[in-house]
Amino acid sequence: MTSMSPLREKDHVDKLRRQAQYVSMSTELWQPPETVWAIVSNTDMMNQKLGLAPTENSFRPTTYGGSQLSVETKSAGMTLAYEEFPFEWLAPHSLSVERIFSKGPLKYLKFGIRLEAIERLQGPSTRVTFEMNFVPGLMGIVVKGILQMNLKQMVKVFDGYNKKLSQGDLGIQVFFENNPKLQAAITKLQASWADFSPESGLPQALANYLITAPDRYASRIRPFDVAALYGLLPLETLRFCLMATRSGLMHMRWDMRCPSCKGPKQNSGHLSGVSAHAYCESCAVDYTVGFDQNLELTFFPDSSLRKVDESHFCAGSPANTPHLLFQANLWPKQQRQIPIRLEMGIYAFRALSVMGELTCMVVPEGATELEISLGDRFPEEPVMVSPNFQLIVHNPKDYFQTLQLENLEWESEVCSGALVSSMQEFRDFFGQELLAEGTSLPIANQTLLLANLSHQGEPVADQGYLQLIGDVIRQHDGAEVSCEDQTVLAAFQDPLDALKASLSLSQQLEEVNRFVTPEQPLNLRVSFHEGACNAISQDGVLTYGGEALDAVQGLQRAAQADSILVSEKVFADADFKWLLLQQQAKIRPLLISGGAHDSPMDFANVKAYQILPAAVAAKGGL
Amino acid sequence: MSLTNTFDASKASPKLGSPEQFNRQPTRLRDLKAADISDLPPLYDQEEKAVQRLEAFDARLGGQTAAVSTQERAALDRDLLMQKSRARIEKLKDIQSGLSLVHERLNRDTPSSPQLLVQLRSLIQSAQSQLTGIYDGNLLMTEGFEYVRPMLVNCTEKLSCLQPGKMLDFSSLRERDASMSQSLKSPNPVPVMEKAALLALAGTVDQLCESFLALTDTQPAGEDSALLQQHQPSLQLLQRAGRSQQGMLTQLTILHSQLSEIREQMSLNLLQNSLQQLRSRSLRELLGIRELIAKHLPALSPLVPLLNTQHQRLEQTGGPEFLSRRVRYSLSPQTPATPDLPAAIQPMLDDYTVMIDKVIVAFETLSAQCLEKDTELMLKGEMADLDALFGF
Repeated sequence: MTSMSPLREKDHVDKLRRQAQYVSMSTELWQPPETVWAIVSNTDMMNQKLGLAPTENSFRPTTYGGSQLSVETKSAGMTLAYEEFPFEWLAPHSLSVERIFSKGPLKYLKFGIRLEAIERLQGPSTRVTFEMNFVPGLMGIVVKGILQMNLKQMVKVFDGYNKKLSQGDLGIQVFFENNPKLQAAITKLQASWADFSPESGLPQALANYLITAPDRYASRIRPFDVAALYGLLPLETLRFCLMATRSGLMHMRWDMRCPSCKGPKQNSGHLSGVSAHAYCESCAVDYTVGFDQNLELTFFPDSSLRKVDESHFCAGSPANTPHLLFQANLWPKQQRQIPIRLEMGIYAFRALSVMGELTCMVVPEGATELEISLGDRFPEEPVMVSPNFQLIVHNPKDYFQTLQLENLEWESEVCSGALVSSMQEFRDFFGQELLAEGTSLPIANQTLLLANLSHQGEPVADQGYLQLIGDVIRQHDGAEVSCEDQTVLAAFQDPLDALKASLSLSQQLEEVNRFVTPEQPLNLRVSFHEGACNAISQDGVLTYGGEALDAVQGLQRAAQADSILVSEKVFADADFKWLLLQQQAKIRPLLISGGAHDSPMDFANVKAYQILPAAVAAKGGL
Repeated sequence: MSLTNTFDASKASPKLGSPEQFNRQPTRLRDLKAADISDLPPLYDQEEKAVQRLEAFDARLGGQTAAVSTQERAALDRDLLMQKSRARIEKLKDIQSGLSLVHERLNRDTPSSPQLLVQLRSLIQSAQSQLTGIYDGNLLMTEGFEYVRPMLVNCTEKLSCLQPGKMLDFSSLRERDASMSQSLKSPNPVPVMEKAALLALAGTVDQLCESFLALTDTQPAGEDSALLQQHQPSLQLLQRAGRSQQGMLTQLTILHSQLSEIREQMSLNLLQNSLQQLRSRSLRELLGIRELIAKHLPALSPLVPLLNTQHQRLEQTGGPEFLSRRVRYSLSPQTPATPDLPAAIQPMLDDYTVMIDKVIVAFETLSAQCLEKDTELMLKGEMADLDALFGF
């Protein structure tokens, strides 16, 4: 641990604040604050547009949690070095950051942006005010003049964004390169991809994104983000990215995202480079990599198409943590009163230096005042507040703390390792993507399915029938993992797909028994469960081990011919029940027993549900 | 590099270290697919298009043979084989359903008029020509076609028996059935579902042929002349244009069949559109209801500890009975005044009942849509789940 820089001493900072001069400038964007926030909060992109140099960031972990950030950069040939306090913001209203300089023409700078909603005749609009409180080192008048020029430049950049928004650009599209010279490259790439998806807008959309998006986005293409931006089907977009990668124009990257800031703090080009633990230097935490939680597959273009630079221009930008709606700093023993406005929903207050988190529900009749003390641990009981409430937050400790508010309904749209490895296309085209020997990544929820066919109790070994099972699994967005003793193990990301596959298998087997094997009817046994397990590589296959596998094996042993056996957890899903209703399946609750031969799992009296598809039930089953 | 601090001890490692206690629910695939359920019309030839896409991808990978592993090659070949099979099955099923319709109409409209027979024969002829085209072009079968071909030829020939001036004998064609079916059913490279589709089609062809032949054997002769009589004015026009009588009859039959096909297609399209509209509407409604439930249930679950406390406090005032009544019977959005309850509890109770009402409304909508007994039973199950959630 490093001792605190004297630049960060409260007395020193307070003194600088008192000495600070103020300059500001405003402009207006013809969109509501919610739309403008996505652009304004992206200070990294703004700094790049202003022509500022990339920053060199050093994080020093603190003893109480989190880290302190020191930054070094260049401006007009001069070296600037400063201590940066965490950004403070409340989306979509304001943001600010304080910097205490050790090198350069400034001693202190607080930069802020305020958004004010305005109602115009033509619709909602936003006044954007850029503000600077500063203490110059030398030549105060010159420094003031430079800062005013910077503000003018910012207004000009935002006026440009305003124009793009009024021309129909959405969200981050305002940052995209609008150079007609790039059109030839887009058209060429689009043409080369056209036969992968001939009747969809995918080749054009992805080619456009890949060529014109800023480095920050093009170097980390998230298929579901691209789908949302262009109104494409998410899974089709992912499949397209996989095909484009396999044909060599894109590459994969496995990001091990920090659970706190969600930043891709460590990454690897192959699964074999993914480790079970990673470290986030800005949050100063070790974290576990969960296969379905914070291991994300992203893509980047081949260097023959475009070279991407991953330089940072603003380490603490609120756009780097879009799941956080609010962040505020508290000095030792400080108490602050902050008016908060939130949409209805569920949120969580947390701090890197406090254990746990406080669940906060925003409801119309909630409390109008909420007191939080940043002690050792957040209370476990959830609180209810109204959409407009006063937050009274107190820091009883003798160290600096930062309070954050996370939107739990924020959809990160992560294409997780678990999701993609439950797709047959990934397993077919990237069979060499395996975890390193000995690496085991936890999965909170994985649906595992076992299926086999038998005739008079004897398993059917005919490859044609095993192929039929594999084909149905694939058609329902699952993946065949392995086949042992004529029993297929399949992975699904969603138990609903496993149910659809099971019902389809049952239906297809009805046809087979009717037309192909009427003299020797085959019996299908399927079971599935969703639960915690581990992703591992074994015998050259990306497979699973642990609880969920033990559970599904236990179910399969108890499964009866021509029925589908599912665990209680899977059956609790409302969509699942709804599908069974639509399919007019018969359901019977069961208590099953019998421990697995090679597992410590006790299978005595485990509750499960036996499903008999309508066609089977009509023949008098159950 | 490893650090020990409170975050390390409280959030990152323990929460992520124990997989059951991960702190955030990942995006569900079904949520990503929700967009797919919109108003997209069904794609009738999607399987064939998938074959084209896979072939294009295959061709692209062909340019980099060295980079394609044996495992990948095998997977790609298997995918292509199964995709082609799916496309052929789709076509076989289309033909089978077309022939089933003919069969149905034949039975429904008995005694059939000569015009109807001409129409049906034309449909059969069209099915026959489609059948011979299935295993051509990019849907060519590379392995196992020797087991399929006899079955296809036999079906085609059987259908030929239904055309005027038949040259083949249906009963002699039937004699070959057993050995051909046996050969197709035996372990061979033909995908299982394709075998089932071919055998199902063969069954339909047999049924149709039997019905058709039984009918035409009793049909009075001279249907062609009846048709000629009916279309005499058109024939005279064609005659003036120098066409032979046989040529005109053929021309007329073709025109007639085209017209009936168009009519058939139009009514099918109409039906298809209505079904599609109905489907998309009900899916939208369903999606709305599902979203409503999904939105409210997670919002309510964190309240359980609070509600349990309330429950205990309310026990002294008769509150549980009141709440149970509200959940089970009272669907009014207004909370009736309950003077017996302590003043502090009343506003919380009001919040709670408003939320409960929303869930109940969602379930009511569901129950209104589901009148069948099974559905009602399941809804009772859902209501029991809800009760369990709130500890009743």
